[in-house]
Amino acid sequence: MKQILHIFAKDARRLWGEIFLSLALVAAFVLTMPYRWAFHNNSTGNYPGTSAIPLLAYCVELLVPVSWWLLITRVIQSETLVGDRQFWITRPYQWKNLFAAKLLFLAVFLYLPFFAAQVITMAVAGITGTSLLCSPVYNLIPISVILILPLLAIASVTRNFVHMTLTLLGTLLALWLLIALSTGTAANNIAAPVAGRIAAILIFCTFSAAIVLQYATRSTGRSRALLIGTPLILVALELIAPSQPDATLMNRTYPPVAATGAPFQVSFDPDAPLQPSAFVPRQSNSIGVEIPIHISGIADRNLVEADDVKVEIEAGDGSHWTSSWQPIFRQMHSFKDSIALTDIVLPRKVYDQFKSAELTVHLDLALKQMRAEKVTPITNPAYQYSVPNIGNCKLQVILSRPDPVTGVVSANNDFECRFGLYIPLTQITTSWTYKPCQGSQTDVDPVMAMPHPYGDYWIGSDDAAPLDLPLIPFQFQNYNSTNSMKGDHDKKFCPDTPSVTFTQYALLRRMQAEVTIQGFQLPAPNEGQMKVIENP
Amino acid sequence: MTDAIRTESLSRKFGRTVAVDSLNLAVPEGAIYALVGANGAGKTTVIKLLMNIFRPTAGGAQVLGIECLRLAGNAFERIGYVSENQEMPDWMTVGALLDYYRPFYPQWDRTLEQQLVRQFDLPLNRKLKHLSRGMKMKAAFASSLSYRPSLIVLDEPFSGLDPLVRDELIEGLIERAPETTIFLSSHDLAEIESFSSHVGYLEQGRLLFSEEMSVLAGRFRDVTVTLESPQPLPENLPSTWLQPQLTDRVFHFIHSGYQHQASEIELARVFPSARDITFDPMPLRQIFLAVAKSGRIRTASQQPTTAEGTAA
Repeated sequence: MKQILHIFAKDARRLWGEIFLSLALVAAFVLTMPYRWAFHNNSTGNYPGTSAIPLLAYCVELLVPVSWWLLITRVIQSETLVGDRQFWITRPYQWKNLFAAKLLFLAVFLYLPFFAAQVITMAVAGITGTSLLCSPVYNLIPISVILILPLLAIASVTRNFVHMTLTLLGTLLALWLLIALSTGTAANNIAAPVAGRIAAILIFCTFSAAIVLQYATRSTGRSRALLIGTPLILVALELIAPSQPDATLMNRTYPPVAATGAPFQVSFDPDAPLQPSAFVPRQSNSIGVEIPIHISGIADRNLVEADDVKVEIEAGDGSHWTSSWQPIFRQMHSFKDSIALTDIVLPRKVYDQFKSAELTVHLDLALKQMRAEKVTPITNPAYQYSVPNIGNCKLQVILSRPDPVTGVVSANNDFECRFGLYIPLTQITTSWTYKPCQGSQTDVDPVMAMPHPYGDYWIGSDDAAPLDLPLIPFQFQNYNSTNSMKGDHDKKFCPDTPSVTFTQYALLRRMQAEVTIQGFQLPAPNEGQMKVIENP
Repeated sequence: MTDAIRTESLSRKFGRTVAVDSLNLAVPEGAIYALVGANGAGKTTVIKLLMNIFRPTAGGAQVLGIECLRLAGNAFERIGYVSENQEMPDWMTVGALLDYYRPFYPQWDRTLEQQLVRQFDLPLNRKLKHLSRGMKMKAAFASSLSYRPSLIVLDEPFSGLDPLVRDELIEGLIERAPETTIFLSSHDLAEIESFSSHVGYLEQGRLLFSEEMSVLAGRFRDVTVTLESPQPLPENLPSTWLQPQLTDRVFHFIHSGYQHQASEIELARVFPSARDITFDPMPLRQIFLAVAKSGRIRTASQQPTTAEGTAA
């Protein structure tokens, strides 16, 4: 312990400039963040202050990791692990103590200030309860895996700052190329969400092992091989992996359930009003086909969400094609009896082969069943209200630009909300009225005087993506909780009515369901319309 | 007497280049052992193998009874290492350097530290990066001698230093000699001749010989034989006669196995008409030049050598 503190004190004395820079940027991050969300939330563009400060906030958010890069490189390379001329390698340094001293340095001058900054930012944002501490803690996990750990690893296998910088730039370039390559060739071979998590765990384990190996043995060649090999193996697996390992992974994550034992039914109704359609994804030599699937028998307070789909197409002449598991881009939440759109992507060659044939289509759907666990009704929401363990919202009136003819400025009510990260999947439902509340004498347009129009909005997830990298420990966004088709009319929340309800869902189970469609004909795509597919 | 350093078939390759080739070496405790050889002979590689900075390709070594591959951490509390090309924490002042190193060594001697600082005239408040090369070496010496190490390993410690600084450092070393083993590498024969007790000669990664300095000096003689009349060079000369040259009536060679009476009898037998024979002691520099130029001795030295004996 004495040696750890001794090395730590030496590093702290030497790197005071880097520490000061990092702390100053973290402080600036805290100070400028309110300006940033105020700017972000002002959808009319009438931000009251100068836009330089929000711009500065964005710059600060970018500069904080840059300062960490500097700090990590300098502290690790104070006792550089590469080479044969370092002063410390023939001194009585215990490698475990040296490693611990470096970790202590990062804990004190990187993690602790940033954790405090996140808590302060959240408190300033008005978020209270468990989110105030849990979000920053959870947030440090992806930051550690995606940012800190790779920086540590590269710093430990490079000789000096220039070497580190060139390696980092080379690594980023290589990653970009590899991702571009894998995106171009394996766009449709996307594994289950767990694959991403496994990749993150693999990166964490191998990078940690490389760092420890380097500290323990200074075997730079082996450590570098480990660091370079891991992403290469991951990309190679992505490129060459057949669908079978993917299927094994999916079967383990989403166990197939016999139709008789399923908690709900999944079917295809050929006579349903919503018919299959096709589209051309942008920048892709493929055709997307949307197939509406009827999900029925979902229990009360339950919902079903489709994550991934695998399709098998068989023509009458015996020819067939099977896709790998594909993510369903349009995330839908199904209650009781509802239709979920399942979009599958076929290579254009496959589409052309089967487009005029009568097909048997077999769909395997990876589904999640979730149950409402906690319902928080907000009655007669005040201008600003908090939702325990989720966040807080405030009602804001957004004024439109004056009508060029009449000069009338219309108003709309929106919510500006701040939520903690990694909150469970939560549905926000609102009900309001265009009519005057009881006792009010306000005149209203009789056409719009419909009772309790209903809007909903989803936040959070049951499956926090492991590769997100937010420095901000909460999300802030505006949402129009109304049905926007109703226009910009004055809406009213009435006293004593639960006007806003937050319903949190917990994952009950993951499962696979099968749907077989006989006599299916691939719909013709509308070539004129491109569709952008984005991962939700 | 036990060995402070012992190697067994120690080898190291860099790609296809053999830097150290089956080195068998023993350095007794208390010795001042000088490993000499031309630039590129492999001296630094040997030292880095001993200090566990490099890993051997084959063979092994023990330093103070510890396998060199396990040499780390606390083991360096008993070893002082100074190298001409070692990086130092240049941002530290000399005083801060000593302050920083002190807690690493339980046996650090503050009195000795202050004595060395005075002896080397070290400016405690000056940063290492602002020091001359000589001053830096002095600071390195002070930080490596202050804890009275059992073994001091020096890699070309005097290279490029002016004679005054060199003498100061040698003086500092000699003062420590009774309590420690010193192992140093050098390509400057003159500088080590004055104070080394043992010497080893490395050429292209191979140890040509390794023995006590007095033994080495004792067995090498510059021999001149003056003949009564010119005669051809005899065939089958002993392998210990290096660089034989016959000019008219004068035969000259380096005797690498000189023994007082036996050598005189042997010469009288080979040259019965010799009018005069002189055996002149040789300085170390001349010995090494003779050894380096001699192909025969290289062949003869294929056998393992130790500091106590010679294979030449």
